[in-house]
Amino acid sequence: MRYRGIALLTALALVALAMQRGLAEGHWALTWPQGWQLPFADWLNAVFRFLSEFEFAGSGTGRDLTRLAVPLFEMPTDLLSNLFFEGFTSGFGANKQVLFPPLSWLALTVGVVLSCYRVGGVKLATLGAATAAYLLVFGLWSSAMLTMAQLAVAVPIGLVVGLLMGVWVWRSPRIRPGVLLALDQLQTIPIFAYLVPVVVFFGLGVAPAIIVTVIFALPTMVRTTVVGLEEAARTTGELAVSIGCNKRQALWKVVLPTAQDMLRVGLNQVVMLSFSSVIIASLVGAGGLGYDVLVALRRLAIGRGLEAGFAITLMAITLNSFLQHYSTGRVAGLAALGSRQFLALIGALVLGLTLLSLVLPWLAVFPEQLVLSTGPFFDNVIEWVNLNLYSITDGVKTALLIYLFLPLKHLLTSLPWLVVVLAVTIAGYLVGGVKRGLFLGGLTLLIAASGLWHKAMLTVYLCAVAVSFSALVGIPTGIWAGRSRNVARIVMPIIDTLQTLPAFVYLIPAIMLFGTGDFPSFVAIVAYSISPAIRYAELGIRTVPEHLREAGVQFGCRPFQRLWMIELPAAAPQILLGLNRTIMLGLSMLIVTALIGTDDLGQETVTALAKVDAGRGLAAGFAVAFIAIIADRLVGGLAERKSQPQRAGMTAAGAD
Amino acid sequence: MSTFAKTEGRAPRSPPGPDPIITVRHLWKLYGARADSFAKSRATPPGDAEISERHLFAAVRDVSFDVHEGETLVVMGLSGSGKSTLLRCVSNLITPSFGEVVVEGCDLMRASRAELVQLRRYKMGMVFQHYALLPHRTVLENVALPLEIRGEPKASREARALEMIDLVSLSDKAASYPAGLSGGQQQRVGIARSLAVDPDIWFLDEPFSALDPLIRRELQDEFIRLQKIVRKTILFVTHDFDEAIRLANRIAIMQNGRIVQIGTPEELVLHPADDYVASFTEHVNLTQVVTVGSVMVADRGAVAGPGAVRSSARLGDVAEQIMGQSMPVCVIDDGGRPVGTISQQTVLKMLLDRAKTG
Ligand SMILES: Nc1ncnc2c1ncn2[C@@H]1O[C@H](COP(=O)(O)OP(=O)(O)O)[C@@H](O)[C@H]1O
Ligand SMILES: [Mg+2]
Repeated sequence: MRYRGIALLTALALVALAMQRGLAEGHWALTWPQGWQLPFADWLNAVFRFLSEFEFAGSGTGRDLTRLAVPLFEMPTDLLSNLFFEGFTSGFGANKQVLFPPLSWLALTVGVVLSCYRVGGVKLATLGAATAAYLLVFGLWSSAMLTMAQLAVAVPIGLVVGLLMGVWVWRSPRIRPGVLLALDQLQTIPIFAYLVPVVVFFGLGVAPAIIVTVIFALPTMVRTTVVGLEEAARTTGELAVSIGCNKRQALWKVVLPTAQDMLRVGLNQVVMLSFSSVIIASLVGAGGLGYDVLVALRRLAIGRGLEAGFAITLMAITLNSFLQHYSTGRVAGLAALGSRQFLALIGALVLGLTLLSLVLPWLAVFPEQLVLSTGPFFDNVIEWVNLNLYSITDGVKTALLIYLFLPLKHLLTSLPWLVVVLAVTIAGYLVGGVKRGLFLGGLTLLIAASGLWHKAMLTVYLCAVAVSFSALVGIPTGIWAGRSRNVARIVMPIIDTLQTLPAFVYLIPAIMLFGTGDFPSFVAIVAYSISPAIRYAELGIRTVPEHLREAGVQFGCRPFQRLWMIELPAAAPQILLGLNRTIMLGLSMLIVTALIGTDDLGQETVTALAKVDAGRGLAAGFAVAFIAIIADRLVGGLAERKSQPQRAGMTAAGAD
Repeated sequence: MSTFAKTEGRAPRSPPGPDPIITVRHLWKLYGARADSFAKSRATPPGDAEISERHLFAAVRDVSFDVHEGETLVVMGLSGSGKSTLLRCVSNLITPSFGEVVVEGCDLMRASRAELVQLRRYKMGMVFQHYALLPHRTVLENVALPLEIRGEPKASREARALEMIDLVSLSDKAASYPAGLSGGQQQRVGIARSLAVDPDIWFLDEPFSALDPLIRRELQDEFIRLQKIVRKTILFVTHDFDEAIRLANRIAIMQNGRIVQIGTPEELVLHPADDYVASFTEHVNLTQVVTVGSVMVADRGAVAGPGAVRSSARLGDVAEQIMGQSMPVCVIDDGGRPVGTISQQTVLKMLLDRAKTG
């Protein structure tokens, strides 16, 4: 079967070659003719125009209605940002009067540290103190407070809405598989693509920023909730019914509490994803730390960008850690105080310090003299790099571009669309049968019909190069780490850190070393996407069942034979899953790198954003999602087959 | 059906209470695509041909029995024979396809949702094979859960839960979480929880099957001790015939969804209805099951001497006493009146019979 597949694909390659030689330039089988193009962007725009301009029985157009919702998001955020760093005022200009000052930085810091101490003991308190100190010392306090004010609205919305949707999906077994599948696909659409429609309906500012954040975090929360509830329902079985629970009791007393570990994972995901979307949210007017990074990126202010980017990570880690501890309901410190007394203590301290800040100015604003910046340091570094390393970095860059990137780019972009469609169909068939082949081939055909073919192939090219590199370096590293504890001890913390940094931050060193264009994009994608390749390979090797290993020793395998014949096959499904994740992360990073000048679908979404062309942005977003789906079904399908060889054999034998 | 009639015809020893608490008549449960709507569409069960034609599967077919007050009916059969399905039909966790289930005078097939909920909250307790304890609740909170569900105030439900925990000898673990308990201890919690609402009817679905043999035996003893205290009407499912014999007043043997025989352990052992039942009973030590009354020679005029044995005594318990005499021994009933005699030959035969086969 495998040989038949190889033979088919080889034949296809020959056909491609023959077509390129034999057919005239512009033949319909080579490039999709203009006249056949389906104007998806126009259609999508028509839908949006209809929705936003449709008159709802005298209550205004769709857009008017959605704009009405804007204050719902803005008011709580304004309230919080007034409280955190702006203060409550009345009047404007010269008549401006301060009604109540913002909470003093010291008051907030003391409050945070004490709360951390109560919830998580000395360790968490140290983390909280370090975060606050970092924000203060690098002069990021007010940006951070603005970000905090928005996330304090976005995170609860994401949690509650996600939980409710999850419960609803879980309760409707008929739609459950469909919804779960759709959620997975939603996650593959780059968030850029959502920005424009959100702007169309909600304008610019805080509200769309919060909505984009929620949209970004929601699918994961829904998914985790559904999976958690399913699992909890399985362990509790018929208990709830047998003791006479009504529907509400069964959910709140039995199933949800049992699912709490999984829900805690959802909480973690929502916090992490919300923080990681602050930079993107700042594209529609969020301000705060995200905006700081964005500005730094545009000005190539390396130091500032890293400072603000790291601040985002630090806050995410601290908040997540706090919530994880808090949600267990345990008290780690100051246990002598009841929770009311504790709140009263915090309230009194915060209020006292804030009132004190009216007379002591250093309590109101963190003293300027103590603020640091790493800007000059990084300027020096860049200067040094440019002076001393330029010849090396440039040499590497040029060599790779000439001998690898450009030829591959040329090859992929010149492939006839017909051949690619056929190749994807055949690959899909080989992996998952006729149905999957036709489905994936259909998706490819849609991309061709959308007129985005060239940009799509550019996307595939850069992603393929970067992901191959990640796999070639990452998988062996993971295998090595899986077999050696010492290596794991060094490698794992590094990739943990790599994974928590917001995607945009990777752009900074890439630009710093390699300027703009394909090569720095490549570097940023590799840095962002290599973690799962390593992590899953390490996991796969580490969890090879001990009895298999013992069997290998018993047969008298030498270490290399054992790796090749026993451990690798056993770990193959995990390794493929890791590869799959790497591709997904690579694609999402690829879109972000549009900001440093690529020419692919990511650029298309960014351009659409600038022109507020929702249809164009979404069409490109869907194209990216299709590519992601195709990769996922091919690689993921391979992983499935590896983990259940018998069943795959049956399918391949023509069961479907 | 025919074997069922046969055993009924032999009129088993009078059950412990006079009134049936659970009455099951011609109960069916069909599985398969659209089985429920098919069952709703007709009044009488389909024949074998129609079942297979529609690709349905009868997990329970035409089952009838009663369980009397204070009686323990054990349902025994190989895995897949339909025991759990039967139990779930009786407790109405699943809706039967055809037939009648009456529990304490309440016809479950016609009961409203609210009635069923009330029944479950006040009249039924259930123990599950895999315990189904909530991991984030302490033992105390787990046991108090059914009371919490029916809205009892915290103080009274915790007092009752502690009482139940004490009953299963776990007082020192009340504040522990299930993960910290052994399997046997977890099932004790499950038992305490099912008894917390003081149900009349107690359902147990293979409660000890997941436990090691020694622990299983320990919990069986515990069950016997508890039943002496709480005196519930019990439907107990197991695949272990020894367990069935130890715990049952009567045993119903299931095969392919049918009850092939129902009767006291003694009846099953002495008169297995077919080879299937015999395959379970043939390795049983007869003297542990058979009572004096069922093998004696009836004779109301026998003279009760000092060495008389009770007719309800197990043969194994009195064999030594009988064999120590030279003449047949007088048998008396529980009131002390003579009802017959038993000879040394009879006892010897019973002792040797099983020595041959196993
Ligand atoms: N929900 C169900 N759907 C389809 N078949 C079922 C279902 N539940 C049980 N069965 C089938 O009914 C038969 C009896 O199952 P069960 O009552 O669980 O057996 P036991 O408890 O005696 O092991 C089995 O063959 C099982 O496969
Ligand atoms: Mg069962």
